[in-house]
Amino acid sequence: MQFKDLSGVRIGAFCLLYVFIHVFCTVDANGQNVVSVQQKEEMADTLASAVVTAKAAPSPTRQSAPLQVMQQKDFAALGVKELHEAVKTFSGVQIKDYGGIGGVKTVSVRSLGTQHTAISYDGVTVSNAQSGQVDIGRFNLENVEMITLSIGQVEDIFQTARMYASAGVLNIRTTRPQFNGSNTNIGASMRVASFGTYNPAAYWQQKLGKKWVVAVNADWLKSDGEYPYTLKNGSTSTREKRFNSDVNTIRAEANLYGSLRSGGELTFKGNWMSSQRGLPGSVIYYNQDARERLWDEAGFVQGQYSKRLSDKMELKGQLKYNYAWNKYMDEDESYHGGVRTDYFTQKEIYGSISAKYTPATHLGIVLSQDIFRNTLDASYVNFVYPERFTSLTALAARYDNGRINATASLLSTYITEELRSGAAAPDRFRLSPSVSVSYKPFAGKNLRIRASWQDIFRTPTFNDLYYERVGNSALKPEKAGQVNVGITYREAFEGVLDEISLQADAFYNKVEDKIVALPTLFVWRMYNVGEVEIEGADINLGASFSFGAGTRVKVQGNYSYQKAIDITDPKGKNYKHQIPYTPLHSGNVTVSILNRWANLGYVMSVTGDRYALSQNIRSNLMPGYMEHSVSVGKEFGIHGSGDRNFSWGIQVECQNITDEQYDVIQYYPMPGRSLRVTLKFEM
Amino acid sequence: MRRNLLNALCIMLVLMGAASCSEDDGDYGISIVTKDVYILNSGMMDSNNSELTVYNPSTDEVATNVFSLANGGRKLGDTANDMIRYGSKLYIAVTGSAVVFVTDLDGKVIEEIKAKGESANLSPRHMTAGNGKVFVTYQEGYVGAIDTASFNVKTAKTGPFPEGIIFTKLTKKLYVAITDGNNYPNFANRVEVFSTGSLEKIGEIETACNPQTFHYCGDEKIYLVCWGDYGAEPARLQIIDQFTDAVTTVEGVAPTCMAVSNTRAYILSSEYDENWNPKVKYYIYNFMKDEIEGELVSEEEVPDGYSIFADDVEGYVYIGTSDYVNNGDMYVISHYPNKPAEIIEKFDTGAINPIKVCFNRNINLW
Repeated sequence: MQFKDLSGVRIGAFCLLYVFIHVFCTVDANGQNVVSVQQKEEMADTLASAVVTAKAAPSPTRQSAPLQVMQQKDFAALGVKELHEAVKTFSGVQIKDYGGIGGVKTVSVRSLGTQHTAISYDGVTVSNAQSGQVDIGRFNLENVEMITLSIGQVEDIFQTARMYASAGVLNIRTTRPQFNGSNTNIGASMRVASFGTYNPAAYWQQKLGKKWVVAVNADWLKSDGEYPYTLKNGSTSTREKRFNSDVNTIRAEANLYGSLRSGGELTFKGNWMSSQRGLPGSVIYYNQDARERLWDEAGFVQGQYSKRLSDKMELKGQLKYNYAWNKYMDEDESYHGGVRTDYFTQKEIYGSISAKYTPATHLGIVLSQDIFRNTLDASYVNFVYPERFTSLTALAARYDNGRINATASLLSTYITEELRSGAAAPDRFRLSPSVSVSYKPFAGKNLRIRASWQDIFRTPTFNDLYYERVGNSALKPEKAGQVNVGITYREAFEGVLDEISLQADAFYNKVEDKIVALPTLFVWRMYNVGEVEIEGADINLGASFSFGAGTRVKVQGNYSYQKAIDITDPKGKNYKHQIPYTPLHSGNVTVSILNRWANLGYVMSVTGDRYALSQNIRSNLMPGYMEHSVSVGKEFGIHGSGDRNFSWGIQVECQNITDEQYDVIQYYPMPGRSLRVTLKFEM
Repeated sequence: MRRNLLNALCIMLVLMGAASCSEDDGDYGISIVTKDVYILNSGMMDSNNSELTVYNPSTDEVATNVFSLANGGRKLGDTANDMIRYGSKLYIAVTGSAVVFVTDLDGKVIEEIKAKGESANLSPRHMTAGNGKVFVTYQEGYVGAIDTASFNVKTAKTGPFPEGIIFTKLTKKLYVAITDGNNYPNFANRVEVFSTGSLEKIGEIETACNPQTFHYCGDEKIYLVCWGDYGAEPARLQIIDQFTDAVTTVEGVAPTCMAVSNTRAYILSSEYDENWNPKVKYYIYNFMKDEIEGELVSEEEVPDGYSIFADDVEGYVYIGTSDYVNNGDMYVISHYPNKPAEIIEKFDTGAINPIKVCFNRNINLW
């Protein structure tokens, strides 16, 4: 644990620790002798949330660290179909989007860099040891029940150790089949969208006896991706088309769920993705020639087992094998034979075991141990074939009595690497603590005050360490410290206004030993030189209304302020300048209207001015933009014979309805107005 | 030829200056001054932010965004790599944009020269002028000859990834440095010789690993800067005899960039220390004795050295610097042999990576 240069953070952390210990001890001393009616209600609330199965959505306003949630019904109401479209409506999040269906999309929270955000799929982290970045463009929301984004602290302490190892976690939870009477569910959908996009999908879910359920789903996505955009060069403006932007992807997943009653819960999952796409590259003036292509074959199998050993003891174990192969090809006469082809294969074997001990009603303690091995093979000349062993141990405790809840965790990381040739990076050991607390000062009001602190880091990726010429095996981890204070409020009403909710947080982050590529004349290398200071605020507001005749309106809005400045070199021309691709102001509004006739959705996102490069000068300025999307959908139920129910639905979305021309990444133009129609059938 | 003329004019200037220093009517003289210093900024790859800046050494005025201002806001393009002045025109090779712009001395575009290989647009790297033509290398493995009247371009195949190119003034051939730069770590180690008329390959010269740029000292002696393989094979300075094509290696010099003035050359040498931290040295090189005489300035005085050029008329050395993140700086250093160098000016180059400098002179008669 390295505290130096984080004195502010340190003081904050000790304050939090003090509060945590104080509360802990007070409660222990007082016991539960005097319990008011109010407290009883709160306890019931707490217990209810503890007893309900894993399906229940966590309440963001009860969390001691920022959490945002979006559920299946929200996806449907707003017409969001892809993961990145949903994540875009969260606050404090930046999505780097290289445009189009095939364009890479990565997510980062609060300016900490993509590698500090973990993506978890049904409780297991999706990893990329090579680049540290996961393309969230590969996930659609077809079979997803809920996504959550937690910052600085996991929402539920009963997690793998790996979930503690990031500054932010984007958690994707898939839908577990529900059977209404029959033993079989089947469904199919067909999506047709602009730019030659077709996406048929189907699923089949089957009960096998009383204990087992099998579910299979697959989809095929094919798109020309040739969307038009406007290219401005001085006073001339031309209408161009994005070429070499085609995508052809098949995704399939099979799940086996076993409820063995006293034997515990068992799930197996197998997932495969096969894809080929063109990489259109950035728009280059006077030369629109793109010939790069990428092939992916990736899959994983994972098994999870959980069992309640007693009232006080729960156990959970996971095993996963992950395989990812890709082939990159570029045609250019400067290569021998006119073509360059690179192959990469990543493999991971992962095991995790977690135990949760509940010594008292309000207290839970979790110990998790993860071990994994990552390898990378690449077709480069003189490649070193790195092999990494990681051991993560997380110890976490959570206290929750309804009025106050607090979580503390300590993650220990040990990494060792071996190479087939050359010197591997030295072994690394680090302790990463995190503390968070939420307090409800007034018994009758759902108003909470919260604070959290986390000291975390990211491991240098295989590319950072061993990429040909560029890699630097002497790299240290990149450190990130996060402090968050906020208030949350939620109130339910009788009448037209159903509920309002508020989350407002202010935060301070610091990134040290940031891993950046630096050149010496014409040869680049990775170094730990960057330092970034981030101050910001996130505000989320939500309200839902009920009108007569089943009409419900849900409005959500959020605003983010992020001042993320580079403090690496006081002599640098970009000293204290806002880091690239980080708007000072951003926000979005979503409105969904559910009624008898149709469901209507509206999503608006606003991004302020940003800079494409480090220096905050006019030539690097990228103007802000506003994007509006609308959707309309309707589901129809047809009662069939016996228990069988048929339903079908249609949804139409118009994305970027104002045809705003903008780039998220400079010279990677985003599509203009586009249409998407989905037809769905289920029985 | 041009430098020859300049040298002669300089000598004349000195002689006449000595003979005519009174202010009396009827005196006459000739003076040659550097009017404009054109600075080509390469920008960052994929950022379309190459740009031209002009510095006036007599007024110290710096004009930025010269290309876009002269062309109605139009962009110069992506990753410009070389610029030469030939007659009253500038030729700018923009690699990423696969175009050679011909502009007037105000930066206004006269012609946009594109060339095609087997299928793709060709990406120009370096240029040289001679025999009424501008010769250009293309990274796809081509050499081109641009007719300076019609701007038609004729191309011929070379070895893989050619970089530097030079017109041999006394023997009228073309030397093309072949790097095979996309085949790390197996870089090429040869110069290919072409005829200037038919662009026919007429020879091959074995050199050190990864030959990059050629530099004249006088009209006869041609230096070749080789970068090595960035690993075990070091950077080297070699001399090619344009009559015999014989190559000799200068020991103890590891050049990255080189600039030649009347009496001295200047070598920017970029190395790593034991912790892989980059180190830059700026050497004064005596090309009569082929030895290093000392350091021009230190890395503390001029950090992040990126390119080096010499103005033999004013006796100035220009060092462009870059951290690849921010706009570059240009240091103007006054240097006379056997005297300490003096940094006389430093200015922001208006864009990232100042990669090339050329000079426009005024000859004044009175």
